[in-house]
Amino acid sequence: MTPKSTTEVEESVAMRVAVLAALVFAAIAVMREGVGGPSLWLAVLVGYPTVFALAYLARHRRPAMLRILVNALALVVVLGFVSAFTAAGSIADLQLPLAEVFLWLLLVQGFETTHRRGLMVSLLASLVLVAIAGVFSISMAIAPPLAGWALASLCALVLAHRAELARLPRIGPRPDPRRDVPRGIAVGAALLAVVVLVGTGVFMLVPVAGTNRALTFPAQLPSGSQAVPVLGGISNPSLGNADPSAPTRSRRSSGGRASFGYFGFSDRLDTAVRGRPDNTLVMRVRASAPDFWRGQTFDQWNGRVWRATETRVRPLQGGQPITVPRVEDDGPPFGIAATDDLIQTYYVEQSGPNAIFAAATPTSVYFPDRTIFQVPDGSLRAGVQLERDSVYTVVSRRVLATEAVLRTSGGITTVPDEIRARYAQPPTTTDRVRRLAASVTATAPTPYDKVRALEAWMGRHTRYTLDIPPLPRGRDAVDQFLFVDRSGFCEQIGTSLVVMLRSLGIPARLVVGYATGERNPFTGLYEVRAKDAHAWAEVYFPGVGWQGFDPTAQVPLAGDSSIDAAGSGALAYLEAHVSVPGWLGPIVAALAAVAVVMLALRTLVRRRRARTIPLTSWSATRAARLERLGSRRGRPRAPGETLPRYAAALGADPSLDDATRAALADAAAVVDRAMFGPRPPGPTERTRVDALLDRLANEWTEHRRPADLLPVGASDSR
Amino acid sequence: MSGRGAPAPVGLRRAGAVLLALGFALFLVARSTGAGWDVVVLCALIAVLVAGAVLPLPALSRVRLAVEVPRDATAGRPVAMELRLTGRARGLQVRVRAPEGDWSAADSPCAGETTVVPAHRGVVSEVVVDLRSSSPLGLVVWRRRVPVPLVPPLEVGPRSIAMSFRAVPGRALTRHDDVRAGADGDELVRGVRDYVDGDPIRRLHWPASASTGRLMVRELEGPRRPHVVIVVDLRGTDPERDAGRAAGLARDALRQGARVDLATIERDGPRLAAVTSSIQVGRRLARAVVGAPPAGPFPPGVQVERIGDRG
Repeated sequence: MTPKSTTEVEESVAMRVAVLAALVFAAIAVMREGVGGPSLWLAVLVGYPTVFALAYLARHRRPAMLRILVNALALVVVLGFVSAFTAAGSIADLQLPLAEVFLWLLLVQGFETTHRRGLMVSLLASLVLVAIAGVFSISMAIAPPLAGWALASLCALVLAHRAELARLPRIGPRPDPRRDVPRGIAVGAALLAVVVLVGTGVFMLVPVAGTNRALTFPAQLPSGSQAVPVLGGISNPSLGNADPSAPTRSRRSSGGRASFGYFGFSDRLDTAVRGRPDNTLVMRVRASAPDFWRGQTFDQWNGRVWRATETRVRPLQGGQPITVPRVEDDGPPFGIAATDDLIQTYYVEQSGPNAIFAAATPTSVYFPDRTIFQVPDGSLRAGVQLERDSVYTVVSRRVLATEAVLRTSGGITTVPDEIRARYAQPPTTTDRVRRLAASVTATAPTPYDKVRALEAWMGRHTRYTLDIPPLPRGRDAVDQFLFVDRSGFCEQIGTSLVVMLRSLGIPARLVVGYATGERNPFTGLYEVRAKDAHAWAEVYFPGVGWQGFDPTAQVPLAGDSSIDAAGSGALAYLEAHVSVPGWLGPIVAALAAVAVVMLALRTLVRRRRARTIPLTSWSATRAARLERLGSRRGRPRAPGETLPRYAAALGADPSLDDATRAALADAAAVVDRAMFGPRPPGPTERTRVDALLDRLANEWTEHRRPADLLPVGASDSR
Repeated sequence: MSGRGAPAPVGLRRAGAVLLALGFALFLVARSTGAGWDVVVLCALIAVLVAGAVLPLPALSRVRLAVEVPRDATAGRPVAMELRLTGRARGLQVRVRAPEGDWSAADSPCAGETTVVPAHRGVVSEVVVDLRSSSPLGLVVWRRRVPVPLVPPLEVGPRSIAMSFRAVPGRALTRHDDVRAGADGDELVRGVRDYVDGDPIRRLHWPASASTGRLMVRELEGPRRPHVVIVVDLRGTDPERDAGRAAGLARDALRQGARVDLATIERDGPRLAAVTSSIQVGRRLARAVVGAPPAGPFPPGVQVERIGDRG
């Protein structure tokens, strides 16, 4: 363990292979996220191994040409990065070129792996690569290369440690290299089990990744993104013929609704429509807290259809980010409750509406297009179609509303007239709906309590189901739901809540968007599927703003929403998404039982062996080893033969060179002196003897006897 | 001779410290970017560090250690100690800490030698062996310090400093009292006498026995040899050097056939006794401590040599 050990030439091929494997796996993880092109793939898959092999071959002498080549390559890479740097528009634009440059630099660095320090640098660089891949990755596709990297890195660490120990003088015999591989596999497997076990435990405890301290946020549009037909209008190609921009889109809107298209992302929402979107993944959302991803609101209700009547849209322009001003519908600025910023990055997986989804209330948007549009209800729309691979980031200021805050909100300030006029007008509905709302909320003192009372009533008297009968012609949808069917899905439930609240004079509106989605604990992203399309109610609280309520799903109040740990729900996620054949469980259990029994037996045997180990000195073990080698060579040591004479007899083999002969004589003399001399040999001499014996053990593996090397007793028989 | 000791953490090795730093950086990256996979990697990293910190412990704890050392050693010269490790543990490092030796690698169970170089003269009644391990990952080092009592102790004599002994003319030569059966061939036959019980058989004088019909034995007397008392006073400025000079003088005197008495002070008190071999010289001087040696009186006519600044 000398400090110089990292600067020594590394001879361990196994360690090199492990480091190389870790590096290649890490590079693959990065490149699968879109970094680099074919040349970089070639450099990683062919160049890295080649460079490592060259470094190994030249580990004892570093040719001048190699140094020149390394420096030239490094210069080329740096120049390439400088050109990318000058072409980049923002820090975010530099992420991919930076990762690419790093990968090229690691190719250059491969020439430095002649020494252990270089190898360890490569290993640490692979960790940096994995961290980069982790930043880029939003899916489970990184898992296989990550697993490969983890295994290779563990092996590299173990092998590096062993190589370090191998440089020290040893007490006792050197371990048999033939047993190294099975032993290494056993150690590696045990180690992996420990790491997986501990890592899982840690994963269940560490806090979730956050997004609130980043310098820059991702935003990109795929090349070829097209402008929407009507700037500021809602467009939803996934609805086919029902696309609100269809009249001006003769080609793209032809056809039926896509399986993932949600009919609510339009300028009208017909509650008589049945059928729900499927399980298609429509987008992923990176956010540090769950919320509802709002798309748009509806203000006008006619007993069956919601309409978004507001057509005044305001273009918002700017750099990054685009600042989103408050709108009239939001009422006066937040006053009585604390706020926090929630940053959400949306990764679009399916072409859908041009709505820019956001948790309430967006304050700034990182969007690659210079112009977005703001509707007076506060919702945002893009001027381009949001195709697959579109990415944008929204910063929302959430009011940390709690029950206490919402209960007291009405006592401080009143609802603005504009909001009351637009969202609290008497709704189109039946009298018995109004009477029901009044009777259910008769004892509720505050608007908040009235909302909860209505939610509770619906929870008791209606049920959620996707299988509901068609709405009879001319019937009021809310009346049908509350008094006839008493079953429905989010559109019916949310609409009923809004209508009943409006009948009580409480400002409310219907919102459509997506529910939070399932959190992938590994990516940290919420995976939003088409079936998560949702409609819920928003209620206005003076001094607080609009607050979502929904008896259908758990709508978290912003002040209460949090995730306990990064690994929350990991097992459930794996259970839901990893299909394991039924027969695998018993087989794994049986194998585990066999492994445990074998381990126990092995431990018992080893303990017995450990008790009977004889005490042998260094000299005795080396002499015995030389005798074993000689016997294997066909020349056992004769009784009474001194070790130097025996070594001389072995050295008489004409196939040996003079250097080996001299080394044999030297080794015998050292061992002899260790046995009988007044001063034991020093560590250098011992290391020299051990090295010779190791070398002879490798070279004398064949059981052949040289022709002129006489066996013991042969001279007598002649 | 074996001993035990409780394992104690020493600290992070360089690789562990680098991993810890990278883990912290990874945490910051994950917190600032929301990268879930970086949290996964961070957890794996923490698990590796935990495994690296914990796994050496059981291996180190189950190792038992026995030490065998020679009785004699010389300061500044290597001495081989035999270590025997039992209990299964791979990737250990072993070092005799006092007297100081170099680190060696070991896969327990095993037995073998390690070399130490005692720095100073003295009596070593306990060796301290350091066992340490950071296996299998080499990230965190645990150490176990095992004191092993030595019975009998290792007596480290001083390294001889070349001195030449010169018998002073006129001093009395002492008859050698030891009968050494002619081993050195320098005894003189004084005469023959009747055999008495206890006489060695080899001293039978067969011609005289044949002629007298009784068993007769030779009477021998040793050669007349110089007798020197070396008074070793270690109260000077460099007791090690003085001890080395005493050793050199005593050994040279012994080489010249003189009878040598060493006058030293040991833990039990002053001691004046003869030494007959180089090993005895080493042992006596190993036991010698700083203090006033016996000041005499010495037998008349004996040559007295005083070693030490005060001598």
